[in-house]
Amino acid sequence: MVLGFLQKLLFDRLLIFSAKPDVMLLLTVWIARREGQSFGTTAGFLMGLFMDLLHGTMGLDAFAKTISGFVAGFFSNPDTLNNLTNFLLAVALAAFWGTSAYELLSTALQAPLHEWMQVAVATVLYNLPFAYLFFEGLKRFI
Amino acid sequence: MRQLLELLLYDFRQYLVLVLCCLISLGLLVNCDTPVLHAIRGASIELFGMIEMPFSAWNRYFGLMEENAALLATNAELCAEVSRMRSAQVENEKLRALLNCKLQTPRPLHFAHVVDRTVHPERNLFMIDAGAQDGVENGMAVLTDKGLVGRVVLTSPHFAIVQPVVNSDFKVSVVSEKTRLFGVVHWAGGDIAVAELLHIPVSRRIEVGERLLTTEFSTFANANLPVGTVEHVEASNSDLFLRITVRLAVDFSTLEHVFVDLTKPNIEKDYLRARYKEFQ
Repeated sequence: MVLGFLQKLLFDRLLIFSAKPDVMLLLTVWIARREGQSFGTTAGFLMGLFMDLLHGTMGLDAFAKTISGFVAGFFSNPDTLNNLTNFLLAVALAAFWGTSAYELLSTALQAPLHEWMQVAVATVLYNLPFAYLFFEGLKRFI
Repeated sequence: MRQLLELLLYDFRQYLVLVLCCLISLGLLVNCDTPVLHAIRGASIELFGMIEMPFSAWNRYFGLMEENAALLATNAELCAEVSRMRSAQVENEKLRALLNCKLQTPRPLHFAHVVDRTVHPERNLFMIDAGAQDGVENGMAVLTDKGLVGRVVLTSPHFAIVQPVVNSDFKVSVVSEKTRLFGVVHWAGGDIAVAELLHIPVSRRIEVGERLLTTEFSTFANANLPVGTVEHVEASNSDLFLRITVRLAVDFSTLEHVFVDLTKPNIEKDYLRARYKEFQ
């Protein structure tokens, strides 16, 4: 919840090329890799739902984060949990498909290909440095 | 049957969870305007607004110097404007009395701060610190001294969500001040300072610099509110309508204070439109 409020109050305002850092996405990926695909998908859905409540929309973020959690769940191999590259790859793919789902759903599948690709790629690139900090930070505490 | 259930619950449970979560999300998205979800959204906006308030106050404190300078400049402009308007008012009253016209009743306006903004390439939204307890209702027009900002789309007791002109779902009917051409102003995304004026046939002429005002038949805004000015007109042989760029009257990048026009939306008009749709 604290991360959700932080996301809404701070990170949502750091827009670059329509992309923003998404700490809820990073947390979803972290959980999905540790707890597995089903748990990650559910966690993504619940966190998305919480963000929906903060944004005043219903279902959009929940849908996107569900997709992100599911995609990140493919990287839930216990042997690679402390592997940074694996985490970054999971974040990149989860961010790409989550953002794509969000863009396509919010425009009722009318978003031009180049526009949602631009937003999705920008979101991936923007979130990778935050993912690195997030991973290194959490690794010290957990 | 039991084997099938076991297969679903154990071997494919991640897909089952995915489908279930996606269906719930889509269900929420489709039914977001039902009374229950509306109430939940209202409550969450209220809660977040409470948390957001101290932060917006903090931001406002650091912007006071800049705001003060801007207010002084506006004050000087307004002083000159007021003296011009006073003499115009006297003259206007005499002319109106001669024509036996009724003076328009001043509209009730409620002052509000913009406490949060949801920034999106196409669907911007603002939250203001005025809600149902202040008399704000869905469909009411929101404006500044410069012109139309948008309309209220969701309220809670102390806060309201405003769908601004710079939201691709927003359209407002306008009339050009001099040439009296009717069209629709629509923002298609991108630069939040410019929008498009639609439905003006290529056979008609509209002047660059002409002001666009809201019309009498708008469902939410009172007539003659400035929306923008015509910035660029382009005629193409292949199109039936002119391509017109409009510079919006309100600067949305610096919007901090607004007025909510507490005039109740015309329910009778909406009712009639709904009935007409039923007949179609």
